[in-house]
Amino acid sequence: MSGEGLRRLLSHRAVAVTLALLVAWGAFSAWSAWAGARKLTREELASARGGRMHLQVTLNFAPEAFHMMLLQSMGRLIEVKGETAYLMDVPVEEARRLARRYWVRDLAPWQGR
Amino acid sequence: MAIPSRRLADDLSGAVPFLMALGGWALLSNYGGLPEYMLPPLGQMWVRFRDALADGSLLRHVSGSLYRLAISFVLGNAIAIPLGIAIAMNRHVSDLLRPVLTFFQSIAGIAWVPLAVIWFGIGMGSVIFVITNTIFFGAIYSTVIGVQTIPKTLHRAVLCHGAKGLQVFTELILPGALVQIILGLRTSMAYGWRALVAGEMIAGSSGLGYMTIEAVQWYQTDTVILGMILIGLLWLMLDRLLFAPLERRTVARWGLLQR
Amino acid sequence: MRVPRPGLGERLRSGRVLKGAIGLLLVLVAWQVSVPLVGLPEYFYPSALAVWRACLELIHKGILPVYVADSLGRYAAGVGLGTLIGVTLGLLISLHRGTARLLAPLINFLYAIVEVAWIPLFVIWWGYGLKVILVSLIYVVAFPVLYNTLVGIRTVPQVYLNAVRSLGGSRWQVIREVLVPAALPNIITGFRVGAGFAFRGLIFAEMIAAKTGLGYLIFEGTAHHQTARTIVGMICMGVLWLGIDNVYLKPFERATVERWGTVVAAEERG
Repeated sequence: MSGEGLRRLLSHRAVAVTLALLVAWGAFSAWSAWAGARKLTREELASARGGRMHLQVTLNFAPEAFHMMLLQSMGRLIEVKGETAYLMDVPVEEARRLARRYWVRDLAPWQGR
Repeated sequence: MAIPSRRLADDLSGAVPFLMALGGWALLSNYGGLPEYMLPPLGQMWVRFRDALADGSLLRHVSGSLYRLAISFVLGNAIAIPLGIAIAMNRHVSDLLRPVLTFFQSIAGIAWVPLAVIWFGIGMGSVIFVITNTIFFGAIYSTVIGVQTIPKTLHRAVLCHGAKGLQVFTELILPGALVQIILGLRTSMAYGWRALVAGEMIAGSSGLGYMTIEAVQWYQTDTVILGMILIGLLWLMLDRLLFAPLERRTVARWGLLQR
Repeated sequence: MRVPRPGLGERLRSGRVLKGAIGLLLVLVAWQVSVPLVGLPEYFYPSALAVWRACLELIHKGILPVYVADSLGRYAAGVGLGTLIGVTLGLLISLHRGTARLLAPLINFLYAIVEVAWIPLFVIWWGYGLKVILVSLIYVVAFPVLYNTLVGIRTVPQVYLNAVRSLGGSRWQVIREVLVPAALPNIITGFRVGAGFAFRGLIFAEMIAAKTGLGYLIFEGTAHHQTARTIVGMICMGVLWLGIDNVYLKPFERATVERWGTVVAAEERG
């Protein structure tokens, strides 16, 4: 597309705003992926058996109904102590996705019960 | 927003699609193998209608809904239109408040239902509050826009003729804004009607909306569909018999003064 | 005729934006000041600061972004599908001259049954959940789009159709080259009307049939005496709608309808 055409396209409010939002979302996704890898390291993931692992999820606050529902959809929610939730049989991919969420402080493997 | 039909043949043929629909309904419910809760047979619908009419519950719900709507419509407009004119008369005040009004207009109505329940509990108070709220913000928005979009040339012309004070009001402001105000009546009613049904469903203790959502608990699909048909008929009557003629006789006759 | 709109720079300089911002600020201050004066408990009449704190809390806990994303996703899907279905049905019905006139009364009546009234039936059919919400949204959008498609196509002068046909155009070409462009201004106006009703409908449907989303947030806040959260939901709803309307809907309508047809501002139609 020519420079002139591109500039005219960008002059439309809708296009400019959408582009800005996409860029912001992309940057945020990249950051959360990086942060997620730090919360749930490769060594910790290695403890998974058969694609599932037991997870100890620490939040920055006491979990509410919203978070309980989310955690229950990922695996078996065994217990919640203060700001930490204990899950069992969580698929590895779900664990990684949970690690990316910014409101999760840390995840660690747990020997289960 | 109707597709107008012209000749008598057209008017008579207007019944055809309904007969077709009823026929299809009868076929589906009797031979389609659908469970009763999905599509009740026509006979059952008729029985339900007859019973509800006989024990007076239907009349009670319909009149309750219309009563709440009427009160809210009058209340909402009676406060909003004068207030809107007052706000719009002063350029600075209207500039200050216009974004606020736009914002409130965008959330008017249904979003207030839970708050209304906290304030007024379940029942008539909440429902009337929600509908009045909807109509109020819609009307005040239309009124302010109506006054603000009076063409400057008209303004100057009237002032040139030596109009002062009250004369400016009656000769310029009122007729100039009237178009928008009347158009606003119809659109705020459209939102108000939805707010009525929705409000009665969540926060009501009687009325068509309440009757319809209550029936869901008992899987009484016939009552639900009865409620829906009545809601449709009532809105048709309100819009076509009340507002459309009003609009035709005023706005359309005068022509759109602005734009 | 293209009426030039004042650009952002011009509007800033004219002081209108500033005055509007001051107006908003005044309302917020009046709200905050009225709280100790009214003296009602917080769950009844939360202060502006309480609402602000609740907003921060909801973001901190990751709840608000998820709710907003869910609502927007449902809205986009519903409006998109609804428009597609409305236009397609409109074109199909218009293929045969008499069909539109025949079906018109039924369509008029079904549309008079407002979308909120269909939700109980949908809940009986499909329980609670995403399907009910989507179908309601599709219904809200498809009808005005369908209407306006039919009206727009009906008003296409026969001359144009004859011209294309006499030049040897096939039926498909007639549709593509004449009907759709001629009806487009009407379709887009219908789209804007539908999008407006759909947003309100979304909030209501979420109150009744969803477990996430802004409508659910508004409802849930009052259920747990967290009225500040309800107000956060209401404010987000307003901000979001103003954003959608001013960034996408209005400019889109302006760019197309004003260019191709008479300016019938959908503002009057709500």
